[in-house]
Amino acid sequence: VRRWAGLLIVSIWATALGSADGQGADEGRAIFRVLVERRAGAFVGAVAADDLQVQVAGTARRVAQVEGVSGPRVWLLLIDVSMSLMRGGRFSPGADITIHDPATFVRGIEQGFIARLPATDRLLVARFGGPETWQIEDWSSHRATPRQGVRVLPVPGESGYSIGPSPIWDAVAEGARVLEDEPEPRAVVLVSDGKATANYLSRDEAAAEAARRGVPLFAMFEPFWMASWPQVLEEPVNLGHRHLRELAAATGGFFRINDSPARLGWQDPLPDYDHFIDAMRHQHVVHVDVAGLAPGRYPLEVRAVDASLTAHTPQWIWVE
Amino acid sequence: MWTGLVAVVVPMTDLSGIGRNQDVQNGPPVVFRAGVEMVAVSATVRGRDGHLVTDLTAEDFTIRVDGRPVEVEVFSNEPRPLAVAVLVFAFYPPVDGLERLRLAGRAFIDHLRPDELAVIGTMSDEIALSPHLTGNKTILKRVLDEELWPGPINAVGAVANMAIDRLAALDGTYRRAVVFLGHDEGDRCRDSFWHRAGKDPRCTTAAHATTRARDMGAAIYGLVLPPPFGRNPARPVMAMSRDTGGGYAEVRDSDDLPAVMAKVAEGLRREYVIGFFPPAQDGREHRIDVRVGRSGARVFARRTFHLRDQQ
Repeated sequence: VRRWAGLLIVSIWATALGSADGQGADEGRAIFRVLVERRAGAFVGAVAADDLQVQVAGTARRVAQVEGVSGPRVWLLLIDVSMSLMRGGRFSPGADITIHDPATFVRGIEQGFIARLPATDRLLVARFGGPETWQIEDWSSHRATPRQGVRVLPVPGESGYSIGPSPIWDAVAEGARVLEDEPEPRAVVLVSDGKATANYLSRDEAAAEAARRGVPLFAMFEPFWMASWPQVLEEPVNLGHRHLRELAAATGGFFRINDSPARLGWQDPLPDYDHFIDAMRHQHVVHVDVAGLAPGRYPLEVRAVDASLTAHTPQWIWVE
Repeated sequence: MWTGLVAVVVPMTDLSGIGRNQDVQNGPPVVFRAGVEMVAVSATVRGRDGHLVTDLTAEDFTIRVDGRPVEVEVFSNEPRPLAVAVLVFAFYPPVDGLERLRLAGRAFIDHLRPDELAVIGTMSDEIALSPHLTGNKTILKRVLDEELWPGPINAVGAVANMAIDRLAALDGTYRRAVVFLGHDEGDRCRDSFWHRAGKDPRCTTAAHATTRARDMGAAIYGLVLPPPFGRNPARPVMAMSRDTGGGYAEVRDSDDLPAVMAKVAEGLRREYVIGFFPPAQDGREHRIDVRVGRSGARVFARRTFHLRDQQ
């Protein structure tokens, strides 16, 4: 286990001064990445320029070109091991409440995500909780190492991390920075309950740090399950999903709920990590005409012409 | 509204922020006695109508220790800028209850002056203190909006201890205080709460945090919601406020929260600080009685103090 300790804040602000994007844009053009979803988990493989309507800072802009992205994907799996998520046993065994059962939590990540990755993709596993982010081993396309890393996550007694606060926003920004030097396409997968605490950055600042590096965030929300509360997301214990949903959307990624009910005693599907994997197989780079705009960050709105489709794009575009 | 405003006892060294030359504006000269620890008592005074009385002089106060009068050596009624830790406990309230706590926090932040600082902490689902001790109201409100989560822990002692660590880094220019918002429930930061993960080493007792706050000259205030399940015998915030010279009030649904928070902020700024030498430096607890000669005025001041043995 290697630490990123101490890097977090300094590096966030240092990189904010640097170059914005890993993929260059032509003169008078800026680029963003898009995922077009037909329905949950079904992504459109071919996207043309006239399939999209783009507004930059409220003004319609012409889409000049859309390119499919190929090549192995680079993933950072970022796992929240903070107090709210890893604390167990708040209620006596047998109660209808189970909090992030560690066995299914780990199994969902291992089998739902790591085992499903294409062999050529590269993966780095990291965890955070408290003021430091820990990187588990090095980049690897060998799956045994990250699997082992995930299995040791909920080790009892490692109170240095497992009962700390949740600087989710800071960790996402740091994760995007770690990916900055990796080849595209690249993405962060965040596993969390969304209960952020003790952050230097705001949620939107973190989203911008990821978006400007072309790193979509895919968030897997780990709820606090109660069998007697079918409307689990509306309960006060699960308000974190609202922030995760908006954070992921602002980066051009999206959000899923680990609604695997195995912890409640019946057969379950694996969490929808395959949606994230499929999405990154269908990512496109969009070149848009931004002539006349001064360098800077602008609000970006993108819609698919086919209203039945959903276009996932960052909330902002950077003009250089 | 205020059920028990009390005062704080601090060592003489913690009077540094007052600036002795200017502070003794209405009282006798400061007397320094080698080897004797001065006691400083903070007090607020309210009139019959509940409004703060801020124009009293040293001559208006009388202090008795164990029934015997003592001389006022240091006196100040100069408002000092605040440095406040706002610590929120949300015990699974309905969502609108959480919003009410946010409203209270935002109202308090709105009443901060440009030279004042605050930091937000939470103790419900995680024990966390924001890294931002700042006067930037945008950041403070962002923390309230993004970093409060309901939960059962109520780590009063731990989060207060963390807040005191943060406030201790400031010099005596600031009037340092801790304000608790939320239910005043028992502290659940204990071994049995972490079956798997082990005890959080940050857990500490409210009594320990109280002692540290008192030593630093920081008062603890509680603006508490009514108990969610009826009367709760464990009210750690009430005890902390009583023992540090802060204040304690239960906020009803019908109360105007912004007005309450404005009153708290102003009360924090407009405290009188009165210093005296105790008759005995014996390490025991002594009774203290602070009164003013103005008709109808009510003093909220600590009723006991305890000096460490001078060994």
